[in-house]
Amino acid sequence: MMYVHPALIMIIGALLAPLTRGVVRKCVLVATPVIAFYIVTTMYSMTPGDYGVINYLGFELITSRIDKLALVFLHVFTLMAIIGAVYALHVEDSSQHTAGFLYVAGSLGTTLAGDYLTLFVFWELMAVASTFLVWARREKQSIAAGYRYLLMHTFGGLVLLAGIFLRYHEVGSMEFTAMLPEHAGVAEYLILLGFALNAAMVPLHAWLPDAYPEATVTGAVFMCAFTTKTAVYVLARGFAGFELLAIMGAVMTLYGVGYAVIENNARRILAYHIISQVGYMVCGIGIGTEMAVNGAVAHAYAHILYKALLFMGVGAVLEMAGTADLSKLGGLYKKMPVAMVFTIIGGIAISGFPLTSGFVSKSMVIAGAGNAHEIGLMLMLTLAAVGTFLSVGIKLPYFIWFGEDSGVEPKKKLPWNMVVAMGIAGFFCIFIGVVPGWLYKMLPFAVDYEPYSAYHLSETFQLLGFTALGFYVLRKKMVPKAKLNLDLDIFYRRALDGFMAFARNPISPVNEWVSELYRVVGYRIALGAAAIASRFDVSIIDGVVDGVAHKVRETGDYVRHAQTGKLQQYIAIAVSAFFLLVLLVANI
Amino acid sequence: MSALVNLISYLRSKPNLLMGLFTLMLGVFVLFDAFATRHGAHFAGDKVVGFWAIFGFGGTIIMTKFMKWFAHEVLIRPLDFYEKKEGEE
Repeated sequence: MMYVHPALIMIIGALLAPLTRGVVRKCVLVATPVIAFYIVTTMYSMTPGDYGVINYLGFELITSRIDKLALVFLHVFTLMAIIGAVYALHVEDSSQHTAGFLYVAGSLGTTLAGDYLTLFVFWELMAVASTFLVWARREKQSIAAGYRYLLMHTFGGLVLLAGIFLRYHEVGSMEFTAMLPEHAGVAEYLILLGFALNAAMVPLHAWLPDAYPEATVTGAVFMCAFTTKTAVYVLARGFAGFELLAIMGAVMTLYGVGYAVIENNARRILAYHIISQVGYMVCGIGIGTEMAVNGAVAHAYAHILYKALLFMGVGAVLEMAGTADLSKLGGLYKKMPVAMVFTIIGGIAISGFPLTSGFVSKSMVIAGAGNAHEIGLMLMLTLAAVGTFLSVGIKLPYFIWFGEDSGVEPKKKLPWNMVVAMGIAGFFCIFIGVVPGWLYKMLPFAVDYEPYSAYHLSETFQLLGFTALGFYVLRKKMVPKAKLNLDLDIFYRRALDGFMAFARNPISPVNEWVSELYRVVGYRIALGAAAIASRFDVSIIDGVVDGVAHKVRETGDYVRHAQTGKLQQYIAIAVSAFFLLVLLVANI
Repeated sequence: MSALVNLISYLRSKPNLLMGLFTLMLGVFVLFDAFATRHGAHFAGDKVVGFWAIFGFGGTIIMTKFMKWFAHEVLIRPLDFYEKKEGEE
């Protein structure tokens, strides 16, 4: 049987999207992820092992390493790509479709990669393609947030690359295999740091709540699924059993819900909840037992679907009502009942109600912590579950659909394709909760866990019921405020401002036109990115990956001059940059 | 959908009924806990009837109070905080 890499299908779809129109394009948009999903289902009949091995300049590039861990992630990624594509079907802007599909291709390629070079190339494709989903909103704050997002991921990518080369220097192999905590040195921890940034691990998380709420309505649905969960996958493959991850994961669960309690923008609340939910997965991976890793993977599967459903429901509100700020919404249950039903399904699933996917996946991580005698971690994860129900299960629906009537009127009708996409995601949120065996049999290890025990049900009923009581008691305190809450992005925002003040003084007297360029915020950030990359190069990895940062600076400079405002051109540049990157990596 | 909307409107017009149902539900949950068999208890709390009820309620109150206080003391800025910085330059 001929084997086709599913990322290739997504890339072909990405290239076809801008070349087609009308019904043909809609067919391309649906067919592409459906074919990729079909390919993944056929992979289950293939013998686990390496496929698509290419010898290039003395390196063995393993484009497809197929095993149970990779397959379960590929399954949910391609399923999610179908949902995301259907949700975005009405969008005329082809650049969003192209960026979305390239982003998925990056995620699938990373998941299948058996060596670090292949992994790195697809890793960077994800970063670049997803940036366009932020920029495509074409608002001033989206452009700025997109640059900050790209800057952070460029930084993370360089750290990862430094780790990859150090490791190659030490072990003489590019193969991506599981690492043991007792043998981990600088190289392994640099790789871990690169992965941790994409997993939004505190304190490297600030890019996520900064960028995701600024993405387009449909772009955010893609973004909430792939970057962090691909990072979870590589952590599960490479770093299971690292105790640091167990602790950091538990911290993430609480950090995310803490911010969600005080945030006002619905999409920012959901963004903080990604950090919290990914924390469960990271913690499970860190604990490293078969049950905890199974739990992490099951939770990733469930999370992608209910989080997408939540972003779709809130995206529908943003699309129809023009805002996602809770302080401006309220009493919409009569006007948007469809979006309400689906968002509440997502809300109860993320909160772990019985008969929903969260119930059968989250509890596996928590029980995994308990069985490993990590009682402290177990209580932290349970407290985060309380916070999750409080902010996404109650606060978010309460202030959008119930509470005081805000008088907001929906400006347009909900497109049918959005309803279908929410329907698919909603179906799986319930289906996995009712038939957990369907998910459990896909997990990397054999499952010996029964979620529907009397005591687990009792624990869940009490936690959820009395959290609701807590909300009722404090409902006046819960009213969201239209304020900004500082997060750690202040440090790199300030650093960029500081750098700009430094850079401008010597430069502007020389070239008057430079200061003209600086007025647009994006230009400033591009220059900041180049400078930080350059400083990073000189001080940390000079000699190891000599020249890479210079290339980044040149590319940044090129991008700076290539501002035309046409996203199609941006994407063309991104694709060229991607291939340049391939060449660059292959030549070192 | 309209049946659902009507049901919500009806319940909203009867807050006492809603509270009564809610209180009854909480009571049933704790009662259920007294009879639930405890397989694989992980720690002492698992053996106390109603422990997770206290944990859920206490957790909500403490988390909310703490985050509201912390936000008020440290985190909160005007919405245009970053834009202002950019405008000043």
